[in-house]
Amino acid sequence: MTTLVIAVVLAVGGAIVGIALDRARLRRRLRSLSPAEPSGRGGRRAGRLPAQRFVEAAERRRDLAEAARVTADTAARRLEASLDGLQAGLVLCDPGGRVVARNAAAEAFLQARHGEALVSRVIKDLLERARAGERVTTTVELHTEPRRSYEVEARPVERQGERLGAVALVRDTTEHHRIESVRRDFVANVSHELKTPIGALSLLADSLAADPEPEVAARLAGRMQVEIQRVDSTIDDLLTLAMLEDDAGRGDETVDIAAVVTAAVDRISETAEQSDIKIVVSGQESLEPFRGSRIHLESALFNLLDNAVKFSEPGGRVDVVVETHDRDLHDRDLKVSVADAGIGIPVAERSRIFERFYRVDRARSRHTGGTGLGLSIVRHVALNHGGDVNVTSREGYGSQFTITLPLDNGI
Amino acid sequence: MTEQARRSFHSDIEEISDLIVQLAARAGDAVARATDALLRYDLVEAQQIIDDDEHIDIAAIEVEEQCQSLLALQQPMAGDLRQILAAMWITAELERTGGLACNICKGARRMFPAELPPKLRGLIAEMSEEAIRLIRLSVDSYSEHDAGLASALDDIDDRLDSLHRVFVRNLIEVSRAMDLDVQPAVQLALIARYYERIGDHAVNISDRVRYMVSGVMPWRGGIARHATREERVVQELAPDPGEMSSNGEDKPD
Repeated sequence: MTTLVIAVVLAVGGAIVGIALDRARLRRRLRSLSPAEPSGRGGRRAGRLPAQRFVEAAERRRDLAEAARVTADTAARRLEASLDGLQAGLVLCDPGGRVVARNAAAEAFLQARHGEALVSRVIKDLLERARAGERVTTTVELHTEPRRSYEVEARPVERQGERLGAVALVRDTTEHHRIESVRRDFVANVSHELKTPIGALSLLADSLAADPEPEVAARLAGRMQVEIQRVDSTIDDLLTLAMLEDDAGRGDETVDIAAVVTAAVDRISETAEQSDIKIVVSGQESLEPFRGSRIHLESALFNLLDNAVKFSEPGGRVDVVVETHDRDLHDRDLKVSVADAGIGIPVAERSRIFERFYRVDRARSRHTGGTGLGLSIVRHVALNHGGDVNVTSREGYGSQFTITLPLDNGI
Repeated sequence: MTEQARRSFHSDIEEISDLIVQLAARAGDAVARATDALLRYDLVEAQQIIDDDEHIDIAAIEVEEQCQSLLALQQPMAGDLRQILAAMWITAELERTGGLACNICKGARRMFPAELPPKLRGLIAEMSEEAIRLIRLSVDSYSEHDAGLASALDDIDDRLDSLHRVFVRNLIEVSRAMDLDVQPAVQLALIARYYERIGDHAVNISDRVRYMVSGVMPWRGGIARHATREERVVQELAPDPGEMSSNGEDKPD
């Protein structure tokens, strides 16, 4: 990516220099056409009046000048447009440090007022150093929400030993860093989720082999079953997720959302009763039928309810609200939200909880159970139905997850 | 003054304005980082923030020096003079904001390894967001010369003040339930106060902006503001004496 961008920058720099050279060439040709100097084709015109020759030459000169201007203009505009199309910000300064060109993305940084004002400061500092002949790269992390990170790179622009100035390049690396950490954490987390029960199984099997006492054996076997259950449900969830990612999960049946809600609430009600947690369903009674996969929608909703119950204090309350909402003049969304009054989710974790196996508190996860895949499944179900899921939360006060589904999907 | 000199004088003033915007960005970033370090119990990051505060101090001195040389060399008048004076005051407020971010980090260090109860964590996150929002708004009013926005800031700050009160009330409840030792409880009370002070500094900035734009010093900064606060505190203290610790020590700014 970086090399590509650098290549583009160098090409652009070359083009700028090229235009300058073209201009110089044209200027030379124009000078050679001037009537004061004798030209190679002068013999043909020898018979004409000097005044006529002068007028013709002047006209030709004007046409050429116009053509040169149009060519240079077009080239400059084409260049400008292509630079503005770049996602990276680009700032070019002359050897004296004056900014001579910047594209639209860079303009945004130089005009920025809050966090990004720091980026503009870094651009200026690095250009200064690049003018002195240094090649420098820095990353800038901005910590105010939403967090962003940028990479600023500056290098001198030279051609045939001549210093033409310096160029700085700014890239938004936020998404890159996010994907990087998702990938890194996924590998660590998936091995953790699979290795922990297997490690336990191996220990239990060892003990079982060593102790022939039937009572102990029965207890050990019971615990082995629990661990096997764990691996089993992790693998089940992984398979569900794989299927959802394949887009095979996009069902095409007519689904009665109210029935889906009732079914999911029924499934969780026993667990909820054990902790004395009340589940309250409210919202629109009559909903238009929705096209999708009943099983997947139910499992998504069940996962949200399961989390809500799991992270609520005993005696708490979980609210399920189903309603439709006008997205714009023509389209409507169906919103299903599940709200609890539990511990809430820290701000920094909120963007990551939909990742596979991501846990806010890993120490707690063995206690609460679950595979760490629930919210990924929810998100995929929502995405497969053309919708999305989002979360609002306040630590210590609770969380609210809302699945938004477009009602016009597939019709 | 020749045309040339005037143009360079105004570009100098613009540069000061850019420097202040950058300084504010640094200060806001420091507050966000400090909150993050506090909520993640990250002492290494906390130390880093304290070390990085030097950059804010240096940037503040840079602005001050530029202002001083402009004052000495150009002897500006009226609007130009007010703009430079305002810049000097605003710089001081931003430098203090950076200092308060450091204080939050030091508090985080002193209360380690106590775990924060979820409710207090939520309130800290919210106070931090609100404080950063106030800094942003004050900078907006400064860059846009928006006296209207500047005068609204004091009212907007009320939300942070009330979050602070809710925080202290919750802190007292948690401490009464013996879920928190004395040291972390004291540190938390101080930390909440730092956020509230950051909001006050943003309001001070907006006062300077109003002066810069209109030439009239808003009669809210000192004694008047203190008097209003006292009044408010007396009213609110009546039902719940537990809040005394949060509001009784308010000083005039």
